[in-house]
Amino acid sequence: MKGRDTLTAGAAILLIWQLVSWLLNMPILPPPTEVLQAFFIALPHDLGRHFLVSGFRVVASILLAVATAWPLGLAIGQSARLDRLLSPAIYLIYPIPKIVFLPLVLLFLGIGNLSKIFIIAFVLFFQILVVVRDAAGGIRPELVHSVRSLGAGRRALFRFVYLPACLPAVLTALRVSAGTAVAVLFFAESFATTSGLGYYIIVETWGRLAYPEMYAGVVAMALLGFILYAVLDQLEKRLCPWLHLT
Amino acid sequence: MIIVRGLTFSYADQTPIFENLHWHVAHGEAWSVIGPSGCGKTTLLYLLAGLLHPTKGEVLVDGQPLQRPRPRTGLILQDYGLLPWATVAENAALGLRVRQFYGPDGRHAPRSQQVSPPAEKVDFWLKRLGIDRVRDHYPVQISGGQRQRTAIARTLAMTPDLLLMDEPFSSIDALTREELQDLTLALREETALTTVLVTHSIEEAAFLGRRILVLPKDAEQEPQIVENPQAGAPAYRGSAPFHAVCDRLRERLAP
Repeated sequence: MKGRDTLTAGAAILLIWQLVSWLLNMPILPPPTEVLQAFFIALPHDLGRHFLVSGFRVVASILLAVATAWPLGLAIGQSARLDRLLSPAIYLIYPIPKIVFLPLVLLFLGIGNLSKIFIIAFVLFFQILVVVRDAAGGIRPELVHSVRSLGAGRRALFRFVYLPACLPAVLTALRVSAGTAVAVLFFAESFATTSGLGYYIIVETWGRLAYPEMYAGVVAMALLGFILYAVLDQLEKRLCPWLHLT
Repeated sequence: MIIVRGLTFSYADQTPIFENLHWHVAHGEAWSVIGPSGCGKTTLLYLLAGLLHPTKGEVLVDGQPLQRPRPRTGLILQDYGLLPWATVAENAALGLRVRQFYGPDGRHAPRSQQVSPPAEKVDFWLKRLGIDRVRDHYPVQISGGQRQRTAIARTLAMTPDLLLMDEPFSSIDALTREELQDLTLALREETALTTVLVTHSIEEAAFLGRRILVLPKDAEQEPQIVENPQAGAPAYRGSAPFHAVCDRLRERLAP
């Protein structure tokens, strides 16, 4: 996607927002001008801090999920025995909405950063695990044979075949689930905490009917999701150039 | 170079593909292996490469029984052998990078050989095989012929003494195939390699193999050897003796 197209789309959304807010003429939908003003006023005060806290939590969860799901997915994908052993359990757990475990996670891990990072990583873990397993399982045996014939044992196969073969799958899984990660973050931050964008939107602004500030929080959350998505998109283009040949 | 002694092989609980097979390949020989489909040509090659292990009997290469792929055996498969995420130059350097990864441990890489930086050797083979100008292309961007040249460059960069090829040119158009067959002859002259080529094409077997192993459909029948001493020059293709050998092969392969 070109930068200019993205800008045009952004401008169009702002325009529709402005129009609807003007037609509706109610305090619960302030116009974007007012919201952006509130955004820039709040940013240096507390909104900026909440943004950074939320950003830290979601990035830490992504790293944790990738660091655990990638190796395990690879191991399952290339070993028929592990696959037989673990895949039925994954099949059962995968469709459970992990967010329902939030109360338990809060009980076990407390109300600090750890519980938020854990619940988001828990959601992402299965998304990554499943695609990495399938990508590793889908590698052609001819490719493995020919690299083994070059002298590669298990370690070199991981390094030169399985790891790079699954890289696009990991990045795609992350891109697809970036929105989910932010959504889970919002929910996890909406109670029993005093920081993060979820807290800012639900407790600090919505709670005291400060609508422009509340929308500023929504904008910040949207921005967080957008930045995540854009960074992952760029990472994929940089790290997987062979997928973007014309 | 290769001694196959009393080789029996079957995939789990199936009827054996080979039963008590004996075969001897001397240093520097150029063999073709041909047989009806399903006779186990590819399986035989994988056994020689150390990718599969005999159910009974043994395969010795250079006097050593095979436990795992041998560092100085090169293997070229029909297709899919290149890493799709690596450029031609990176693919050609892969074998040397694997050697560097382990160091000269005598198991994954020859103990004797200095592990030299890949660049020089890879450059030499990319130029020799005429794929230097596509060195930064990815496999999907080049032709089938160029892909096989890359696979050959990757193998030759490791200075093998035995080259195993499994239908290396069968998914390539006719003209390019002849080009690559001529190239194989030239490379064999230059490097004094022992070669074993598995093919389903009678013409290819007769053009590239000075000795031809004809595998039977049934593991209980004896494989036959057809001698083809005149093979080895590009002009052999289309000559009268070449056609005579093709006819003999056709006869032996007929059910």
